[in-house]
Amino acid sequence: MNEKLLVVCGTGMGSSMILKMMVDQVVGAQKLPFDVSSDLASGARSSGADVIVAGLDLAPTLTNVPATVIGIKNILDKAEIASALEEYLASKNDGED
Amino acid sequence: MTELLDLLPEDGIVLGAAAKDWRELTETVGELLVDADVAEPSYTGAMIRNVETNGPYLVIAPGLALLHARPEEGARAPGLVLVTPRTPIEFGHSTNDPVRVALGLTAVDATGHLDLLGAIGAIFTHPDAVDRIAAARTSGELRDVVAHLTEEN
Repeated sequence: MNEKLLVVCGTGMGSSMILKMMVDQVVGAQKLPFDVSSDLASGARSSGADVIVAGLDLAPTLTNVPATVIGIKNILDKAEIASALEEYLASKNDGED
Repeated sequence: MTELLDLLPEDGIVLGAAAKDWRELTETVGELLVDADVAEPSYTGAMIRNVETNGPYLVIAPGLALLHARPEEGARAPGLVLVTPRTPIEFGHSTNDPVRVALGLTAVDATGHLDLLGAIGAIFTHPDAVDRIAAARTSGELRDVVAHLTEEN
């Protein structure tokens, strides 16, 4: 079953959409088990997402969000995105029965 | 996919702008968007408030700022402009300062600017795109650099 991944930014139409495109490309190329969508940072808390991806400096503002928050330093760097997502999946598998 | 060069208006490029801080750089970007008829003057203040409220997350990659605000804050049409400051500008980002290339973006709905974003992503995913674009001294040089980066895709 796919993890729900939400990409966020401050306006919902700039960096979150670029980041979503990059995440889509990484998820597609490596067939990672995520359903990807994007929204405003203010929509994070009620989104029901398992993991939230945002630019590094926005990530600390996402407090009280019942999801894992991943901060990306360079949203155009697919290698960074890929390794952050793989690390998340590996840590989830460690916790599974 | 549409190319970045096709999406940047000829007048939408300023190289070596004399901005002394991030506010002045954002004002220069805002003026270009107004001149290109894609934003109202109010959009400039909205972009500045976006940085003040949400912090410098708009510095989306090392040296690269994507300045924008919400559509209802004064955007008139999807648009893109590019400014390189004469001296690199600090926005206060934890890892990606200083800014050497500032893009200005307008969108009017959720999807009309996806081409612009795709073109930005395709060019700036190259790790040396910012260096090469920041070094361009003329609009002709810039277009050459972008054309080469596009070919390398």
